Amino acid sequence: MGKRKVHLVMILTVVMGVMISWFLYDSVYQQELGRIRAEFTRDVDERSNAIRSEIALAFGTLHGLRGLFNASTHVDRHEFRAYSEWILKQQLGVQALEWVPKVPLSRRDHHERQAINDGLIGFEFTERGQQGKVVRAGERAHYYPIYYVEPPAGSQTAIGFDLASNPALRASMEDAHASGELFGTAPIDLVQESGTKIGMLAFLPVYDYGPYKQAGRTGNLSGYVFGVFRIGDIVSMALKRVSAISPQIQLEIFDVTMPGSKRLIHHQKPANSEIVDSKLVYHTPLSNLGGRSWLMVARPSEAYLAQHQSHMPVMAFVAGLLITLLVGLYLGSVATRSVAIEALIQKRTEELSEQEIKNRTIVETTVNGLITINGRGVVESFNPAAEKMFGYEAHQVIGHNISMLMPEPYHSAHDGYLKHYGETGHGAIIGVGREVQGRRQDGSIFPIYLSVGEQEVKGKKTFVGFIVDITQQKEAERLKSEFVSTVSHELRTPLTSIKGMLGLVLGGVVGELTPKATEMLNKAMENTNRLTLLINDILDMEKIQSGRMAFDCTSIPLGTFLQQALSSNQGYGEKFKVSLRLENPPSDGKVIYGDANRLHQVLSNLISNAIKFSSEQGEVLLTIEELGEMTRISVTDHGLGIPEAFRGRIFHKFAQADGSNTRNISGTGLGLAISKTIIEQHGGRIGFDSVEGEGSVFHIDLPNSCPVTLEQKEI
Amino acid sequence: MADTPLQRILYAEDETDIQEVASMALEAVGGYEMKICNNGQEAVEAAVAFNPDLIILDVMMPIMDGPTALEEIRKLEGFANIPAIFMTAKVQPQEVAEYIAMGAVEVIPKPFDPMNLPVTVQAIWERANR
Repeated sequence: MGKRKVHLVMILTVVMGVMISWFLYDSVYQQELGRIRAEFTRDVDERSNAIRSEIALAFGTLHGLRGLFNASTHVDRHEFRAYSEWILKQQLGVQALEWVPKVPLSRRDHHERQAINDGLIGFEFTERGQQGKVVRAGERAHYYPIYYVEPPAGSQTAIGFDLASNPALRASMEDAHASGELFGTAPIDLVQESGTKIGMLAFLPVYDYGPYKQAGRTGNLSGYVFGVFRIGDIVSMALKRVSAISPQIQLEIFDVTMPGSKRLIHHQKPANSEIVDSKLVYHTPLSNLGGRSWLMVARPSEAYLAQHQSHMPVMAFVAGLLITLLVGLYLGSVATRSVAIEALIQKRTEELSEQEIKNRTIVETTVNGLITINGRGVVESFNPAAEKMFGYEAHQVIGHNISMLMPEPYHSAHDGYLKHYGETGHGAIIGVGREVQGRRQDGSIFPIYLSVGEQEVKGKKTFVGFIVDITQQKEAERLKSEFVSTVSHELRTPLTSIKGMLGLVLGGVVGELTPKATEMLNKAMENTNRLTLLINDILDMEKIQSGRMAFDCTSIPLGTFLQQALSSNQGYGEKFKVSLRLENPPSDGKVIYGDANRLHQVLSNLISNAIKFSSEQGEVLLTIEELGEMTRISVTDHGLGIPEAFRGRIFHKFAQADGSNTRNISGTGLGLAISKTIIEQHGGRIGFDSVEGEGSVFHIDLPNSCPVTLEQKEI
Repeated sequence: MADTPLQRILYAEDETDIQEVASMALEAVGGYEMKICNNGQEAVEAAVAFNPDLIILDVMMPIMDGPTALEEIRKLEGFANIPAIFMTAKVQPQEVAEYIAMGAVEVIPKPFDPMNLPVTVQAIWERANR
């Protein structure tokens, strides 16, 4: 699916690219063609203008000749020759110049004689006879004989020929006379030494005194000046002036004077180049050439086009293809990448949906309640475990305030908690768990352990409540506590009897005892006391474990505190023949902080331990030391010391070094564990230093202020 | 009342062994006149006739427990301020606090030293009458 898409994109790109490249090529080509056409037109116009000028120059010779006749009262044959010779040298396109006077019948003889006098033997006015022969012209009112000819060579048959004998020519001459303008004839073949060339005749009427307006002019016509023009030479001369610029143009000149008739009168091919039959064909009319209309048709040669064409269209096309290639590659890579991304998105979506199913399964199957609320306390989700726990169905709770699930005082205070948290960021329950109470639909209240997490998605705050119903746990704790309490009570009751009776017997209330009986009853009494202590310690341990051991914090005068500890252990010390001494009594105002009873319990425990492990006649020392923010109380003995192997677990429950001492060193094994917990609850430390065989120093460090933990635990 | 010496003690305890120990300690050692009851109900009923100077009550007893008995005795005419001691094995700090709140002047924990009991009771009596 993906690959097909990539291929489609690339094919489409290539097709579009080639089309655009072709369009580019064509548009640049057309633009260039336009430029070439303009240049070609300019070149051709240059040629046509040159040809026009050259023809004007050639025809100008007739005007010059007419000027000669106008300027003189008589132009004789020598003068005509002198002038014409000079002109013929200047104008190579002019083949011959002639003077054709208008001769009335009355002046025929005079003219014929004059010509003979000029050296033209047998001169007479002639015309073409019926068999095409040249014969003496018949009588008519006016003759128009070719009278002067320059150059004379090759014109012997022509001289004396009466042009009026040719009706078509006569009509043309009359038109010229009527207009006073130069008149050109249709193209004619000129027989030359180098072959036939195309030429034309042109003539200009000459009047006695200038070319006046048509009215009243007839009588003043004195004749015509005639010219024979070689069209090819005139055009060639004209082109010589411009052909250096660009010779590579084919020119064809047609005479198109007669409607529907088109005669080629000149054809010029560019040198060494074939003609291109292209769209660049340019038609230029060359009109008003003595009444003739020519048409010049120009075509550029391949060389001309090659010279004027650039590589722009091809370059544009190639550039288009290159861009197509690049765009194709780019789109291909983008398409490939997008296909890869689509695949990745699909994979991630599947994974997410898989994860979503897993998450939903967790939420729906967990035995713990999961409730989410928004920043205003409105329930957004309520899982099946929560439904079971609270007795509500999800739809009964979602959209309502979470406080509906809380008994007082939480019910009324919850909105305040949320507001406070929103404003200050401080909350007692966010991120930590605590025991609170929930209220079921039936109004019953049950204990829950609630931990609340917070999340913020797109600026929207959500709280997730994780709820454990701890009813059973609480009940178990209550039962355990009750059990321990009951057991303790039930143990103490017989102990009370035993201890009481032993006490009375030992006290002599019921009569004298033998020394042996006294000794044995004393041992029974010691063990009774030991059992009592054990029960007390077990109760303390249970309270510590269940978190129900309560402390209050007061300032305790240290001197009094130490003296009480010493005096309450005095009897015990005497029993072991161990003396107790306070090494450095504190100053009168010195106080420590904590729960007096519990701290007394700890210090007594340390002193009694020191007594137990001291040698007879030994001494237990109490020392006070200031450690900055703490006060250290040390209890030193010079007894057995603590075995190396026992040191690591000395504060563990039921830890005892060795029960097999010869001395009666007894204890519950709970004293130090309880002491450690009590001291730590006070924010203090308990530790020891010991050298086996030399004795031990136990010390407790207490902060010189009430620790926060104690204040919080106050009841 | 402050100058009156301690003479008669009303004592309620369901355990006969303990009754015996306590009464022997207080009668034989302490020299006090004792009225021994087996439960709270008996103590309430015996109070007016015996007219004790001090009451010592066990907490856990059948028929009527110690705290209820104290409450009932205090309702009797002339007994509103009679000093009372709870002698019990239930001596958790909260429990002791509760007994004191009920109007007991002191709590003697079980097991107790019978030879020291008369001294202890006498000290409590004196403190209560200061």
